[in-house]
Amino acid sequence: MADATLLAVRNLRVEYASSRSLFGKPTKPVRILDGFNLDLRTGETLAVVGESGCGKTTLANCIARFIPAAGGEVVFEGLDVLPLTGLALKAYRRNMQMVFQNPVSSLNPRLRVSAIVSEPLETHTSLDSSARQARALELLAETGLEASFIDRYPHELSGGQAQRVALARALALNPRLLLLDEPTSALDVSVQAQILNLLQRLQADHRLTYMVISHSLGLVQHISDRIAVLYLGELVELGPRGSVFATPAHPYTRALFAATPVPDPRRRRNYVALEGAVPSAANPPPGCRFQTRCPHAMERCRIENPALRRVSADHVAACHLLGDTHIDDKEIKP
Amino acid sequence: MTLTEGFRHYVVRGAALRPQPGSVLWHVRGDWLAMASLTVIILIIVVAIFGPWIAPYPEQGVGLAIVEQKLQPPGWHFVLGTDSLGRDILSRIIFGARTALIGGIAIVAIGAAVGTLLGATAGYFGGWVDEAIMRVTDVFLAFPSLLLAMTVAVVLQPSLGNAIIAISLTWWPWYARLARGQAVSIRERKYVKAARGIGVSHATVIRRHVLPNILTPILVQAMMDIGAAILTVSALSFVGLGVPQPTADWGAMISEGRMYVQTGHWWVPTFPGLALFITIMASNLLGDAVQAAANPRTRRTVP
Amino acid sequence: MSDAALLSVRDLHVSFATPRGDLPAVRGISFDVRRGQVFGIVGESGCGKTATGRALLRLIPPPGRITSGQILYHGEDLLSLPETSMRALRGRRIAMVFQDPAAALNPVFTIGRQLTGVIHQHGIASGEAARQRAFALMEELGLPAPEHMAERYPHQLSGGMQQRVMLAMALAADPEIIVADEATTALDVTIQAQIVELLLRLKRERGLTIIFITHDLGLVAEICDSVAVLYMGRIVEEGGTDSIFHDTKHPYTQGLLAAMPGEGTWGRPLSVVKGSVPDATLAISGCSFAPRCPAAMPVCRSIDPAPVHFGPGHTAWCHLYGAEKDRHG
Repeated sequence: MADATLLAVRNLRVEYASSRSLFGKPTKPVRILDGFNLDLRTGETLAVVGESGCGKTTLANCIARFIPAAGGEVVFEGLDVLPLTGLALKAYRRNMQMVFQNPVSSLNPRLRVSAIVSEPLETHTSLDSSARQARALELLAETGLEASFIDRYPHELSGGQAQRVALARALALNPRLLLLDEPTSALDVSVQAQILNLLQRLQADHRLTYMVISHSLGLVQHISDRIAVLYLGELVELGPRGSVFATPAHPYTRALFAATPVPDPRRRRNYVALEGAVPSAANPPPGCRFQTRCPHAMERCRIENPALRRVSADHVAACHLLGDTHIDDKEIKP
Repeated sequence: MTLTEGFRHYVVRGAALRPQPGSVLWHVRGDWLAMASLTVIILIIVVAIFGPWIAPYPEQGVGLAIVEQKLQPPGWHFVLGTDSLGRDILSRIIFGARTALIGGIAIVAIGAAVGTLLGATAGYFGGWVDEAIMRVTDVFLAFPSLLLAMTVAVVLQPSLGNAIIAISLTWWPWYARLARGQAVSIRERKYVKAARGIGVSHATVIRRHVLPNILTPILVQAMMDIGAAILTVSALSFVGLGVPQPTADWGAMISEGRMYVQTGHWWVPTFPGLALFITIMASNLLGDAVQAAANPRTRRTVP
Repeated sequence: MSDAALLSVRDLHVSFATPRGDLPAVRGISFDVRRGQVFGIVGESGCGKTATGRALLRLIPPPGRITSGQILYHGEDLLSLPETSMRALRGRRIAMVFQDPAAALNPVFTIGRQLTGVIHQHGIASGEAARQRAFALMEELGLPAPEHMAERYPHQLSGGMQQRVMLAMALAADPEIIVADEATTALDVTIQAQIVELLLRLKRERGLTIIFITHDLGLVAEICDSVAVLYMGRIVEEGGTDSIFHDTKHPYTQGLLAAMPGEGTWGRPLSVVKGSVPDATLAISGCSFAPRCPAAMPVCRSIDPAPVHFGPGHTAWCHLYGAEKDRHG
């Protein structure tokens, strides 16, 4: 695999607007992400996993420029995209598309499939309507839909078909990067398999880079090259798929794996469920953010937030249990 | 015909999405009342369009006074009698239907168009745009609407066009509020986000993705409002700020005729009043039925 | 086996009236649930699993209705009981827990008030006794500091805590059976694990019988003793969880299991169940899975498959094995 970095998230900080209290005094902004770093390599599938409130959707929304960042950089092919506006932003959007969780609601119910799939072409190219139509048909074929779907409305599509249309729309401009936000969680198992296969075929055909956000470890194990585990706005573990699954280094990663049911009754575990719930991002605990639920929490964890430490060549985790071999940010970059 | 088809299409399509069979009473009641109202409204539209050919005395409908035949009771020659200037009341009512419909439809159309555009813009952008537009809206809503319309009408001189402008000015804020509420919810839809992600401009997103998806409740509201708009035009005419003589207007006819009730010439204000009553009643009932059909919770099947 | 059954469903039919005619959601389902068992009902969207669960409590919302069948509970057919007796049974003997606890809890009342309300309503206790009972239930369900927690409003609790409150309400009258309809689907996986652990503890300590409705085969493997796999309103395969997962007979169940992504599937395409679930309002002839079945034979499209039994309690409705049996016989 070529290790060229396609997208680099540097010291990203995202805050949610301070809601004003009753007497107009602005409250402290809630920091969803604070000093967040992550690299995306060309052609890879990076899975971002974590539970609600971990910041994975915020991260994607920020990369896709749906929400503003309070600080940091998102560098796409050497260019920080956060300050982009107007035509430059439009050019960036050509290269990066997001695919959403619920496919039916991501399609305008008043538009036909032809209008939906050709909207990016209409926005970015000077193709006339017959050329757009031809390209739309091409895209439908590529996503495994018959030409007859071109005149349908979204309510006439099943969930799987709608997700194929959404993928066709995302591919219309030949982007380099797709952000897939829970791409199959609204679909049935049998349909999920079809979409996952399609995603892998498209990736191979178009040399796409994927960032997949998912809570399903089965999906992540199946599709990803590398895995990033997030907890309460922080990267707690990052590494190659095989290494993270075989030797999870962070107690949260281990708990997440243990809590995920495996479709095999002979591999039932004696449940030792993680206690409590994710603390509020508005009031994160001091020290390590996981210390309130961590079975191994020590005195140090309550005071000092652990930095990322190397577990193996390409595998890092943020936990005091891993000893004191601190590494700086530069070192973990590929 | 297309209106009937459109209406039936609406009800039947609506039912196809979420059926609620079993409530027979509800459905029969709703159906014939709605259909009767629709018939009345179509009748009024036909009368308004073909007024000059239907009216027994079209020249009197337009305003020709024949003082010799004033205040004739209903009878063979003048089915609904004549007014104080000897004009056939039936003809006047028929010509008044034009005024009423033009006024009602124009007010609602202008109000809905302006209000929807402003409301959708406010709701879609949120933030300070929303604040700015909606505070202006609130200012307009803070005035008693009839009083505001009367003030504007006084300033602009009485005429049908000016009455329409005056009343539209008080009408759009309601649509702005309705459209804003709808747009706020549409803004959060993933397809709006997807369009922004593609790089579609705000104006196109509003036009292509927001407006078509907020139009249904606004059209329903507009349908229900036509009756009220007609009533407001009549109210302005009643106090002399609406449609000036000799143009036929139901409100003005009631106003002129009201003093004749005491002298026993009851027909002068009664028949225009009845025309107004029936029109508004039909408009409201039809609006109710369409609203029920548009709302999945009250939707019912039509056989 | 049926003599040990606590609850027996016999040939249950549920359909929903639509303008295009009746939509059959459940088309003749029969199963037995033994006391103290976790019985899984698993299937994809539209398979009728939710309608089946609601039918057990006669809670099918209109325009749906139970058109025929029997639900035998302690020798009585629940479907022939008058509504008043059914109401006395709901929540007291058989209780239900739904997917979205936030929607099921009343936002304007405190947790304590809602819980004591349920206890009072079931005629178990009132006043201070009801409060004490509520605290005991909250304690049992792992809601910390009950006195304090009782003063909170639903929105002040996390999803997992809300689902614990829902379970406390369901258990208020000490029912024999709990019907859990996707009760953990809306929760994060570590929270789901807590609720699953809780359900298993209740089964162990209280001898609670649980009917667990889900779309997640992983969860089924995790907690169910036996399971029924539904497709288009019918059970296609039923049996002990181990035999369903390790001696899978029906092509649909096989397809579902093979389609699940996981550690073993990396780097190769997933096996796929072709097509999608057809329109349920259309008439079905033969096996409903035949149009998507990789092993479909001509007979599958014309004749409804009869049950074929494999070992104790394991049954599949499939012609593949019927034909085999005929050959051997």
